[in-house]
Amino acid sequence: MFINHIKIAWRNLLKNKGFTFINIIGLSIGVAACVLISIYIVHERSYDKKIENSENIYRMINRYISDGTINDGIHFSANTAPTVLSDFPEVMQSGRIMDNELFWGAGSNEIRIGGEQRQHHEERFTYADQAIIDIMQIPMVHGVSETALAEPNTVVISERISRKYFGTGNPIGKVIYLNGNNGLPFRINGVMKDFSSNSHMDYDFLITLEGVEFGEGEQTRWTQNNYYTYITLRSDADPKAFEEKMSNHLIEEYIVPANETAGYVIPEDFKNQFFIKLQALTDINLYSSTIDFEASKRNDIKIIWIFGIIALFILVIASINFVNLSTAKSSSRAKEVGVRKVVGSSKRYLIRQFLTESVLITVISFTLGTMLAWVLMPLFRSMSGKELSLPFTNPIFLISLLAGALIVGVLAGLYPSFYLSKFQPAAVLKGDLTSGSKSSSLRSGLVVFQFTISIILIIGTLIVNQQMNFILNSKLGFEKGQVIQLYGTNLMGDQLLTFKEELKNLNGVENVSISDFLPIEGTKRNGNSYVNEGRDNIDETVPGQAWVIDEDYLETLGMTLELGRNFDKDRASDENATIVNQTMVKELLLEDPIGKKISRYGTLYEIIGVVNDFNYNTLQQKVQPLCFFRGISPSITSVKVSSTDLPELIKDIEEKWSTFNPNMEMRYEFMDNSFALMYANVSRIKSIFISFAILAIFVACLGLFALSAFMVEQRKKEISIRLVLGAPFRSIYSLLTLNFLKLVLIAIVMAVPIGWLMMRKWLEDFSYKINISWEVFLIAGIAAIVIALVTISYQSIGAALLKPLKSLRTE
Amino acid sequence: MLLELKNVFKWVQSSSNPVFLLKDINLQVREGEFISIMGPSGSGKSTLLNVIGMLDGFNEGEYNFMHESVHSLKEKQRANLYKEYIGFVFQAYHLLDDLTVEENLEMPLLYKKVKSGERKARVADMLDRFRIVGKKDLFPAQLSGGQQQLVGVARALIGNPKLILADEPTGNLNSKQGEEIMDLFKQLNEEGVTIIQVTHSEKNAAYGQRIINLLDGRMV
Repeated sequence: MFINHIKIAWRNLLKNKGFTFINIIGLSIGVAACVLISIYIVHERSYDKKIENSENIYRMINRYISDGTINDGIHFSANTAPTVLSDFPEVMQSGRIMDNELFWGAGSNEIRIGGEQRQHHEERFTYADQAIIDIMQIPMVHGVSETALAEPNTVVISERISRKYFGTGNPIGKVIYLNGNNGLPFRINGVMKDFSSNSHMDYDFLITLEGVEFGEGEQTRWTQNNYYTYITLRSDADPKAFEEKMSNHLIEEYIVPANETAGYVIPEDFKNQFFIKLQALTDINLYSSTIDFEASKRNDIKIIWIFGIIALFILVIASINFVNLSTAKSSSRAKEVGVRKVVGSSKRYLIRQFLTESVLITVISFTLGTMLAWVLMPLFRSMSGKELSLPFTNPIFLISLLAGALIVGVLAGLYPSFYLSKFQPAAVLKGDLTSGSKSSSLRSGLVVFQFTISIILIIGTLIVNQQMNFILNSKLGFEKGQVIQLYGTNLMGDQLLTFKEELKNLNGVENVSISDFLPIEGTKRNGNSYVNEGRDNIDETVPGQAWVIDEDYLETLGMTLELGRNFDKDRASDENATIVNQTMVKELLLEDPIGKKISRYGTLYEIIGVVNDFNYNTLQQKVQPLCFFRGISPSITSVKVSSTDLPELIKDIEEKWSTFNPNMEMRYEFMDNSFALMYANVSRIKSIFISFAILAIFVACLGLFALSAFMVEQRKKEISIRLVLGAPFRSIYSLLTLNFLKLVLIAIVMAVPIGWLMMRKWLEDFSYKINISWEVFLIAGIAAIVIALVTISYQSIGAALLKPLKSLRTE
Repeated sequence: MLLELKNVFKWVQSSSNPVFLLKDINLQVREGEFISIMGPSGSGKSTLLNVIGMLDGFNEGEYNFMHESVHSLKEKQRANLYKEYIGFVFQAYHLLDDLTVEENLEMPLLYKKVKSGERKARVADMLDRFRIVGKKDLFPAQLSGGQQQLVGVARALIGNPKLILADEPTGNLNSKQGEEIMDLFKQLNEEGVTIIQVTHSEKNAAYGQRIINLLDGRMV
């Protein structure tokens, strides 16, 4: 019987080639989209789960709640990790990561291999404890995991770095030098496997924290927070109870006393405002978007949800096509149902037969869709920036595909099969079947549903696009165009200032400034506390950045002084001067800031200028208080150029560079590129979103196209009679088109409020955002109408140009 | 007694008054009879045939088929009854276009869950008997009308029915083809199959032993 079902189903599919084609193409696209998105979601959810007992590993978080807003941070003092290990028996391991660029050696460096001359630029350096290797179970290719970072001045490098510099050899025992510091060799004591793409860590160099101290007393000071702290809890410990106990203990025993000793004012309500929390290791990738400095590195569970919903939408739209087309063409199957019933088929058999047909379609579609996903994989990989692949060897993947095909096949086939199998043989064999129009209200409903989703996606796409362009082009308070950043200039040492002057003299160079603090991500940041003169230990301090810049900085980066003056090279007193941003003025409650003095850890600085509130974090965040100080922060040199012949100018700069640094290649970056990188994550999500939205709309149109074809087919006789009676082209065209347009209009009415609510929610995450304008909805509506019109018109025009006699004669 | 209709009425409700399709039908059919139903268009011939075949219900009266009261059966039981005992032949043949001759014949047996071996044997037997072995792999569209109806009759017979209901079986055929089909019916009847046919043609009606005339839903 089953074989018979399959055989008949197969013949039927071949017979209705157009119908089958549209069903299969639509579903295949839907399946491909679903497979790609599912793989993406599975990948994003798999972060750090491979680590054994990952459920007992946590990262520490400090939470500061002020005025109802939660500020989460992950920076702790150096002694937090050893303290929790010694104070709590529940803690089995604790380890620290210090990757703050602020400190020498972390972030990016110029490296030189012992025995060679050339300097190479490398990134992804961090300081780490041996315990981090233990906790994260980082596997070694060479060397011993247990002791890789146990001794001072050792470093573990990744396999890719090892291959790059040492080929296939074993580099254990070789030394590297950082940033031209030839007195401080780092011995390679391990080669680790590269971090997999689903690890939240991604470093190429782990420098041991053994014997390291960043400034005197830093290792025992509770008020200097630069370390990420990871702990492993005993499996029998209750994490919630432990979290509370640890938070109270650390705050009462260490943090509050240390702040008091340092002379800071502890807010009265401190105990209700400050908490220490644990974040599960496996949550880091998806649940860190609210943590300072983490947002752009991590994904966001919200994105995962949105993508999941889009995938489901596409599949639903494709399934709706199937239901619609099946019931629409029911009249052509009616005779078959009648005959089968008369010769003895029960309803059950018929349902089974129609279900077999729909499952056959879905099985074919899932197979094709998976192949399509495979073909699109390289594209999707570059779009998502993730190491993704189709897990063909994973039985779960194959089983889910099969199960998916069966479930979608049965669900989509259920209604049509019940509908078709209900036909009464006496009625259909007599031929007085009112051609399937009974279910047209259901079909209309489904078409409205499809188009509602499509229009919401169009609205979403437009708003995402607008917000992205707003971020990339909005007034940032500085000029990112025509600025080139040269990296690693610290290696020039005393010659740097000469280099700067010589660059300035180049044709096409407008200005040059030396500073590591730039309004793009990945450059130096820090945290300091400020208070008005004479208010130390009385007022609460204002946390803010302290950036070291030179007197050419403001001009090179195109920032504007709102009040006062710039630093002056020739005034020695400017050593104790500061330029603050407008937010700082506001936070310090200064009326007339110029000439006022502010205290930073007891040292007084005179405010000589106020700079505009330029954005130096991503636009998701508000501008924070900031102070400029005069000095040299030598790793990055920014060059403002005016030349139109950039390649020529870069050649000139390179020439200068090589006279100063014969052993090092010049590494430079255009500032607008670095800026775009800040938003790479958002851009990626944007492009994924747009692609899948277009796919969804395409699949919906495919269905509409076929549906209108069937409608025309059914009304051929009616149209012919009308034509014979002299109906003009226009009236036939509108007769066939208006019905569908009505549905699209209803969909627009439904989609606009839903889309508005959804997009408003999405925009909430941005501190700087566009207003949703009514034009968006107008454009989305018009787009939907135009898309639908074009889709339907192909059929309607064909029908209106019908030769009436032909179809009447065959009736 | 194979079947018996007693005071059967069937009507449809139009705007005000009911329109009668069948009025007070009383009919007894014995096993082995060959009955022709005649009457002008719209007189209720096909309706009567559908009621007898249980493809259609009726509003009033009694219908007993092989000692079962059809009027008191549920639809499913009714369906089981006609599947078991009745074979249908249509004017427009109603073969499934997607199936070959052989598969069309096999279909009723599949629904009856006849085992594969026996199925093959019975289909082969039927092909042989109707001398269409050479056509078994052809699709209906490749056959002439007479040949299609031959397959239609063969399909009606393959389940060994007690009763064959034929709705204008020769209506789409030319006279020679029609004659062949009628001869076939006669022969089947002689072999013991009960046949009720609807026809317009006096000549075909004469093949039957009894003629029922209908006018406006009433037997005359």
